[in-house]
Amino acid sequence: MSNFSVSFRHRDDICVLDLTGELDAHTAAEFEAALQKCVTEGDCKLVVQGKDLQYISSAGLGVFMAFIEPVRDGGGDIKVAGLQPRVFTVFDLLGFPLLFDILDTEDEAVARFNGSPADQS
Amino acid sequence: MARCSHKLSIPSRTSQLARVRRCVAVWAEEAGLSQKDADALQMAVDEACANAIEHGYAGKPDGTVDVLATLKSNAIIVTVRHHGAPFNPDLHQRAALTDMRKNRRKHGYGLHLMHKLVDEVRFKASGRTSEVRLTKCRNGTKT
Repeated sequence: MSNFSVSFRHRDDICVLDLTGELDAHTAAEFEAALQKCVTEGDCKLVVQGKDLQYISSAGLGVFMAFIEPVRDGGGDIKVAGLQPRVFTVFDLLGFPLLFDILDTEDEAVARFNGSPADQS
Repeated sequence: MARCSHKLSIPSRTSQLARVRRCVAVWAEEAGLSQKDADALQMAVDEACANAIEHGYAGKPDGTVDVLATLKSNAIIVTVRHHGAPFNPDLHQRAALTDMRKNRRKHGYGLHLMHKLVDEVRFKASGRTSEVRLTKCRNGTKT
């Protein structure tokens, strides 16, 4: 049984993906399908709300990596918000904060779409 | 000297990973690891099991992955063993993380994570058996 779910909502032209549960090698396909749906439907301003995300493995991080270029090529970005310390640690260990805009709150992430993206090294 | 040991055998399905993490959490608590160290060990074992399932067994669901834990006075050692295709770390040199990020690599981060999360990672292959041994020290220096 999957202990992961992703749901969508919109704040103006920004699509917020609410992640809940544990994102691992089993559930990564569900997250991948969700991001693919956004790209297919032309949503390119994405905020991943991670406050209810309990766990992430490298498979989950790989999904973020798979979509960052297509989304940025479409003129948007994937911003990450609200990560619990345990989950942020995994992003941080692999240096993903250099590549992704990671904010404390969803409101900050939404506001950031009016500013410049993070360092895209 | 080993204090006690535990063993969990799972079918080679990623749906079993959550079960592995729950077991490792219990073992880590029994070993006296801090919550932070227990989380790190849990993630490292999860990555090792995912590698065994996805690469060792190439996603075939009829294999078995054994997860064995030995609790020592100052550490817990978790061995992940399978009988699929062997993993030779010499043939899979870890690309530099900076290069992986620049090239937007989607795979290959698990091995990096394992090395960052536990104090020692050792690979061993013998005949049809492959294993990775993860050592997490109490009050170790890793995340």
